[in-house]
Amino acid sequence: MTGETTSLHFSDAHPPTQFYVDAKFANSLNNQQYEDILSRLFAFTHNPDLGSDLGSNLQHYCLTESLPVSSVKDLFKTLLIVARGATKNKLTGGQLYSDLQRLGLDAGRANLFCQTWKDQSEVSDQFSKLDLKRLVDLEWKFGVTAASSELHRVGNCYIQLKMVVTKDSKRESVLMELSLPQFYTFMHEMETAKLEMGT
Amino acid sequence: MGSDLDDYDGLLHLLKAASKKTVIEILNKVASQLLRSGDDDVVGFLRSCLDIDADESAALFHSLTILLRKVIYSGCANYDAINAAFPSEFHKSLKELLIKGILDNHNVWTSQAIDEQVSLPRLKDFSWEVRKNIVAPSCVLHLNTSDRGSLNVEMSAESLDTMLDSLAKIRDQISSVTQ
Repeated sequence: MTGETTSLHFSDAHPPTQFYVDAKFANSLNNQQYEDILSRLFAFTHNPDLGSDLGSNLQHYCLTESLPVSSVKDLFKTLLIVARGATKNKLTGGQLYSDLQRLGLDAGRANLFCQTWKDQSEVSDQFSKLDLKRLVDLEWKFGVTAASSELHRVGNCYIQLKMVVTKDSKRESVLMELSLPQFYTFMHEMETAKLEMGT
Repeated sequence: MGSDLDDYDGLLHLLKAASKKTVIEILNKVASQLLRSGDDDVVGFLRSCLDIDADESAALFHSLTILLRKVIYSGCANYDAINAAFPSEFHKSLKELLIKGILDNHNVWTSQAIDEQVSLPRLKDFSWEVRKNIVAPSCVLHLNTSDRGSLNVEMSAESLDTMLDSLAKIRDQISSVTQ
């Protein structure tokens, strides 16, 4: 078949036979299953920290859907390599689509992959412009100032937060102190944010 | 208890003030300087305001510093407490004026002292937005702290939930301590 000897856009290397097997497997899934796998894939590319749960998550998913675990994991690995290669080589949607077709992926499946990949790239671009750090841990301390060098008796409350954030595998701590009113406002706003996220 | 009259001698220069209003203004300016450790040339201000020389304004500044530190530190919030800070032989009408000025501004100075106290970097302000990503929504928090300036933090739905759990624990702690 064509595509076996010419190299693809997402990688200079000749794709292993496994990739064609995985594409065929992807075609055999129903729409919902394929979408579910893609959503896990791109959640992982966006947030690599999810990696620790990924294995068990996929396993559990396969059990509930009665899908063969090793096939799903192989497919996941392949799609991940393709997605990363596409990003690294800055492919256009068209180039990626053509690669997926050559691997034997159905038109509809290939289209969805490209669309999702493209949307996710835009999101990542926006995020990297923002110098966005990810929150990984939150520590806190609540205290009351008993006295200070200026005041014999103080009695005001403060909350200290330590946010541990990470970006590009670099961890750092952000320390901040909030007054009581600030704390209540902050908490209220975060509750509103949660409602808006709809979870 | 009353204090050594010498310490308070400098205050007598206030009698050269054009009005009672000026005296109060001077009180506030010195208090601000004490509490905020600003760079203002308060001694220079005293010189020009009262038309006194360098030694006299230094003496006035010294006396005001002693008086204000004492009343702010001890939390003197009523007439008797402040009155007790003055030596018994001190100029009566000037003392009354100073007591009034201290009573009127005492709360403001205490708040300023609390604001300026030793602490970690403060949160100045913050805002947030929810971004509906392809896969899962995320919350982006824009923080502005006193030491690092602006910072953007992203949270997944799970992180936000975990954060809210922590905030709820803090709130419970606060409730159990305060009335």
